[in-house]
This record gives sequence, structure tokens and C-alpha cells, in this order.
Amino acid sequence: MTPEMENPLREEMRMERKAPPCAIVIFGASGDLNKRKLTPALYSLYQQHLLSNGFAMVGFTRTKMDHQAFRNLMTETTKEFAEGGIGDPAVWESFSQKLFYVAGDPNDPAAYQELKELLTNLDREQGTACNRVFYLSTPPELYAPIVKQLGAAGMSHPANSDSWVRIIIEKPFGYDLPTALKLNGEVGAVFDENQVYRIDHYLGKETVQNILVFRFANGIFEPIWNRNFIDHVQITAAESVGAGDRVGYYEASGALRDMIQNHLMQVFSLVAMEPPVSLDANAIRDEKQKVMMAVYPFTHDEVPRFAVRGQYGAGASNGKPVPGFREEIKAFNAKSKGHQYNEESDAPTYAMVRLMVNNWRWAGVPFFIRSGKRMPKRVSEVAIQFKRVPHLLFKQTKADRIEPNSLVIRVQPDEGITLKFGAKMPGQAMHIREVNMDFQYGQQFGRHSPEAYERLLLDCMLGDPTLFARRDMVEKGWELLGPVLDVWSEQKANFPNYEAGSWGPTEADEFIAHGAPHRRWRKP
Amino acid sequence: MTTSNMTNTETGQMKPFDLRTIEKDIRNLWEQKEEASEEKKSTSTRACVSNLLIYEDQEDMASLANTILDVTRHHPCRIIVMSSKANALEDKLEAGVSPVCSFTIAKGKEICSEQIIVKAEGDAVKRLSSSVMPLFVSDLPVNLWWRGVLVDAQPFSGLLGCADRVILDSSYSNRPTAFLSILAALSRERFKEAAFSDINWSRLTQLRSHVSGLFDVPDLLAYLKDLSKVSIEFPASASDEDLPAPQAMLLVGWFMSRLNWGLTEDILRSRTGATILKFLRGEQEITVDMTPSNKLENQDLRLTLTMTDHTGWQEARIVVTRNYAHNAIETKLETPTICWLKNVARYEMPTESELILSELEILGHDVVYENALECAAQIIEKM
Repeated sequence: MTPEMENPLREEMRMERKAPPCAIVIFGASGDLNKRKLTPALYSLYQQHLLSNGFAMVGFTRTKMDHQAFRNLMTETTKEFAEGGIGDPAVWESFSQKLFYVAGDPNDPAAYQELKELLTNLDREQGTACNRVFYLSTPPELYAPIVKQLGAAGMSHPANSDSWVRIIIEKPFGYDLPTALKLNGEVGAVFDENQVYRIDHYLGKETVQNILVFRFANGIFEPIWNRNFIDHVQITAAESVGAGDRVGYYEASGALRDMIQNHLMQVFSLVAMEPPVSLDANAIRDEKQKVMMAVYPFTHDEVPRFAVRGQYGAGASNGKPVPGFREEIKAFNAKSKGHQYNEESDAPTYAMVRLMVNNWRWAGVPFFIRSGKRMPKRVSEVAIQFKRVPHLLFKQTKADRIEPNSLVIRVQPDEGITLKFGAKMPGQAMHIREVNMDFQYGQQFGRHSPEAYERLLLDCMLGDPTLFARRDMVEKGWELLGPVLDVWSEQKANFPNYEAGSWGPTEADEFIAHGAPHRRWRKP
Repeated sequence: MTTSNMTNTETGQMKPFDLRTIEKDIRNLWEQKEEASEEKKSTSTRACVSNLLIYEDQEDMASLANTILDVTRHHPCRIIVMSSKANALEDKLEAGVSPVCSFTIAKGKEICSEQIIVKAEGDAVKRLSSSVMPLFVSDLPVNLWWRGVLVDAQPFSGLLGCADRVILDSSYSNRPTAFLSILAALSRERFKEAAFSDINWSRLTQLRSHVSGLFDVPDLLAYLKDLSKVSIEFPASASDEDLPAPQAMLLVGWFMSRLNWGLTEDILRSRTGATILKFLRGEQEITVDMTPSNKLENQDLRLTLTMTDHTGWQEARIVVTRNYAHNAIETKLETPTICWLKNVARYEMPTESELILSELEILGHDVVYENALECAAQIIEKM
């Protein structure tokens, strides 16, 4: 039970959820993630009075600097990256007084002793109540050493029965199943699973959370949310940008690891899961895991029947010519004096998988999940494609081309929900036109959705792991997609196979229509 | 916020009240809007999430217009503004339709709602509630914001039956604290039909949230059970004849309901105008005093919580001051274990539109408020 639950003055609907006292330690505090997302998110929470009076943030990196230099650095980066900058200087000043810094090597035990002493002082001076959040915002190879050192320094478990210690781990949670198991084993040797918060910022997005509300707070959708009414589901995360300066990262990871294994599998599980027995974090995560367990585990031989990969060649984006992925690598190598990347890389910049869920609700309904770079536009959505009407009454008219209904949940941009259906056009003839019933968050609520990191950091401080990935789900995701990763790494690809600025390779178009000519990819 | 203050309303021409004319005017309004959008190659979207019925008797339409713009920017809804002059010689009922639009900067889109103004004079005031009812957008909640002095007559009594939420402001009353009892009775009697809100309660939200947040610190939470004295100082100008200020009463009602205090018969009035009450929680006695102060102004409020152990030894004292002039909530703290003694948090006095918006966000009953109001009414009854 959290302290918030025990405070009789706290429970009510007008008061926003407010974090209990705690110190948050950010490893890799001089990195981009902290500058662009974490500190701005914490500052935004502070501005909204959602942090406790007993709050402190400690930056931990190798760079030598004192508390004031760290505060100065955060002042500059927050001015640049926070929406609205620092706003009222007096408010920033009071927030910045809660920022502290420890310089040290992540492998050096002495640095952790220094950190421990600082945190103990902060308990006394700032009222952080021995509660800790450790945030690993470092390269993944440092996760295990940091976790080990935290354990060795005696910081991995609470100092008393009223306090708590949590650790947030950024993706990637491994590179494949063996590395995920290894990482989870190393973390699990020091922290209990209920202390571990694997962050997937996609789950912090308002529309993703709304999938739960949409499905389980409305009586009209759940009865048709099954194989009897749904033909197939398309989950898309498209980006218009190319790999750019991140060719190195992308060359190693590819679209399947970068987007599908984590973000889109989480979205898939929310769409496909059964109703949870309660809104308790584990009740929801149990249902998500159950649907993952029900996914047909295809073998290495079956990969071509379940997945398609692609890589963009030269083309046009936003009206301008753009190079292909391999040309980007060549350009990067030419500029780089350091590591050179494979100029004939087979890294997929587009990946698509078909998941079949073997349970009563979804038997026979394919879930097509795709993600790609250099697509015509940046868009993420879930499209539920309903079955055609059983009997076409309007065959003798021009209306026989009417499309089946679809329900589209847009994750970004223009977060909202659209239901497409046919309506008669005014006039003497029976002409039917598709029309949209459109709900947009921006229009209906007129207030900004909190940044994903704001929501997730607050959830972690409040001890609510609902929107964080659990160990078993991460491992199951790798297990399901493992054969695809293996086959794709072993077999040479015929790349590039799609033009920058297009909706992906023709193989993907043929794939979705195979055996069901009425199916085709949406072009959102 | 993604919206700008680039908003506009156009005052619709007032015409004799006729439902068909109003509906036709609304249709024309959107057709004109669509044509204008096509010419400007921009997008106007009509949005509506509820009906907001506003009764205005302050003849303060200019400030109300600004509030409406702010409200619809965040909560697009059909606005129906009613005003009345019961003492006019001539019977008159007329209406005008106009759009209320705001731009979303990030998207460059214009979000529009519609506003219908209905004015009644003379005997037509009695017909006001039945006239506006057909104007509601069906299947959407109806919020009634009564922006004026409450009278137990038409149109209020007629409108009560069709509202899902009734928003009042006890500060509008001539006897604001005494009015809390009327509100509590209304809330009780009409519980199944409508939820009641008092904007004066919303004005306390930041302060209550701050006080509540103090007890999120486990060290302080432990002291809450030893709370033995609560002192509330409020501006003398906010006193309600022989009663304390309504915000002070609601605050005591909140403590009483949240901390399960039972009210005793001991009620004292000091020469300074302070009201002293005694409560019991189990065996423990809690003293509450509410004192008018000439040093406090506007929305200033000072709350002192004193915790003592079973021997009467003072363990902790927390003084929270809502300082209107300094836009600050100051907290002073004295405990044996907590080192920080003074904390200043920014206090932003909410605007009228922010207060209304916070009410519109609530669907159904605000049980915490209703309990606090009920407790405040119990105390007032004994005074």
C-alpha cells in the first residue's frame, strides 16, 4: 500500500494524483534522453504541483561537475527542450534547488558510496523519506554493472518497511531472447520483479491508454470485438524520416527490434487481450501476457508465411529527393573517422509480421503489424477492419463497391478515433459514400495530453506498474519474434525493395492480399 | 495548453423566441461558417461535449463573454445563456444565436461551438425554463451554472429538474455561510437527479491539495492521528454576520468528514469574533477555532494544525498560509524530525473560467464535497 492510499486527506477526485516523497537518481544524466525528456517531464510535474515537497533529483554521470554546474546545465537544456522553456524563473529556481549531482564511473564502488551518502542526506534535508527511483538512461551495456553496483552498495532494497526502491530500465530490454534472459537474470539477481519498471514510452501515450477505456468502458464495442465481426486488424507505426544520423543504431537493430518487438507488441496486446478482472496492474498485465501466450509460435521454416522485410532505396520525401538507407550509411562512413558500418547492410527499415491468436475470440483473425521508415507520412494507428455485410442489398446500384466498416484508433498525430461507414448520398440515385465519424482529442477536450514520460515517471513514483512491461511479456515477445530475427540474419535480402516515400515493399502488399484479395494495406 | 487566445464570438441578432427560427439560425450559422472556411481555405470544426446552461442576473455580460470563450476553448459545448427581468412591465421572450470559436495554434484549426442567448422579461420569466429545454443537444449532459443570487422560484426550480449538474457560487449569496445549509438540503433532496457544486469549494482545491500533500510525507502522516487543534484565520471582511467565512466552514467540514470527527455540543463565541468548536475522534478531543482577522484580505487564509501526544506535549505544528498578494502558499513546519521549516509554493488564483472548467470535468457526484458540505451544514445548524 502506498503512503498516498493511507493519507485520509488525499483520496478524492479533484486532487490530481501526486507523487509521494522520493529521490530519483538518473544514471546518464548528461545524455539526450534526460535533457530532452526526463528533466523537462519532472519539471512539468513540479509546475503542476504533482511532485511532493520531499522530492530530489540526482544526476549521475562520469563528467566532473558540482551540484551548481549540473543545475546550470539543466537550466540551459530545459530552456531548449521543455515545452514552454522554464517559464517563471522563480519556479525553475525553486525546482533547480532540488537537483543534485554525483560524478563517478558506473563501475566504481566508491561512486556508489558517495551516492548513498548524498541520498541519506537528502532524506534528512529534503524529506525524501528513503524512497528511491533509479533510472537507467545509459547505453544498455551499462545496465548490468549499475544494477550490480547498486546491489553491492546496499541500495537495491528499502531502508525500512515504510519506504521503497524502484528501478526504471529503458529499452532495449535485450537484443534477442538470450540477451533479454541474461539482462533480466542480472536485474532479477539484485531487484525483485515488483521493483523493476521497464519503460515503454508508447504506453504513456494518451491514445494507447484510451484503448483500454474505449474497449471496456463502452458497451457497444466489446460484443463485436471478435472473430464473428472483425476480418483483420492492422497496426501501423510509420515514420517519414530516414535513419539519418542514427544509421549505426538502425543498422544493428532494424525495424523489428526498434518498434515491433516492444511498442507495437504492447499495443497489440491491449487490442487483443480479454477484459481484466480489475484495473489492478497485474490483472491487466496478466491478460496481456495471456494473449501473448495465445499467439501462434511460428517456426523458422514458416517465417516467409508470417513476416516481410524491406529497406528503402532512394526516393522522395516531403517533395525532396532523399537517399536510400545504404547511401546514408556510405555518407555516414565517409564523414566518420570512427566505426564504419556495413554499406551493403541488410538491416530492415521496414518490417511486417502477421500474428495469429489461437483463442476463441480471435481464431482466424490475422493481426498485421508493420513499421517502417521513409514512408509517406508519420502516423501510428490501430485499424480494426470489420467483415463485409453478409448480403449486398445494393448490388444493382453503383453502391456495390461499398467498403466494410473500419474503426481506426490514431495514436499519433491527431490522436483520436474514427469510425468509417457507408451513407447514402443525397439525390435520386442510390449512391453510397463512405463517411467518417471522427473524434479528436484536441477538439473534444481542448487540453493538452501529458507527455508520455510525465505520466510514466509519475506512475513509477506512485508504484503503479500498469503501463510498464513485465519480464515475462518481454521474454515472450522475443521468443515469438526470434525465428524472424534468426532467418533474416541468416538469409541475404534483395534490398532495397521499396522507394523512400512509398508505403513499403510490394511483397507486403502481395502478402496481405494472399488468400484474401479484399485485404489491402491502409494508406493512412 | 495548445490553444491561443485568438477567439471570437459574434453577437447574434435578438429575435422573438421561436424554436423553428432558432434551429434555422443555427443551421444557417454553420452553413455560413463552412462557406467562410472554404473561402479562407481553413477548417472549422463544430464540437460539442455537453450543454452548458448559464443563468446570469448580474447584468455582467461582458465579463461572462470572456469566461464563455475560455470555457469553450477547453470544453466545447452548446452554451445557452439566460437572463431575466421579472419586474419589467412588458412580457418579452427573445433569443439570438452566435458562434463561439477558438483556434488551436498547433493544428491551425478553428473549433467552434454555438451560443444561444435567451432573454425573458415580465411574466415570460416564468416560461424561461420550459422554453430553453428543447434547445438542449440530446443525449449530452446538461450543466446548469447559476451565476447569481438563488431564489426559490422560476426559472431555478424549473431548471433543476433537467440539469445533471448544478453549479452555484455561495459567495454570490447575501449570507454565504448560511446559504451552505440550503445547498446541503438541496443536494440531499435532489441527490438522485443532480449533483451540486459550489465554486467556493473549488477555490479551496489548491490549498486542500497542498495540505493533503504535506501528509504524503510518512513522518508527517504519523502525526495526523495526533491532530488536536485546528485554527483557521480568514479575512474579517469575509465574515457572514455572526458566522465564519464559507471557505473556513467548508474546510472544517472537510476535516470533519475525512478524519471522522464527531461534533460535540460545545460551541463558543469569543469577544474577538472567533468561533470555537469541539470534536471527538474516539477518545481524542479536537479543538477548532475560526477567527476573523483584519490582517488578511481577499482570498487569504491561514490554517494552523497542532499535533500533541497523549500527555499534551506539542509534537508538531504546521502553519499554511494562502497569501493572495504574493501568489503563494507558505508552509511553516516545526517537528522534531523534519528539518525544513519553510516552503513557498506558487498559488495561482483560479479564474472564473478555470473554476467552471474544473466543475465540468466532474461527472456525477463529488462525494468528498458533498460530505464536507453536509458536515458544514451540521455545524451551522448547531450554531
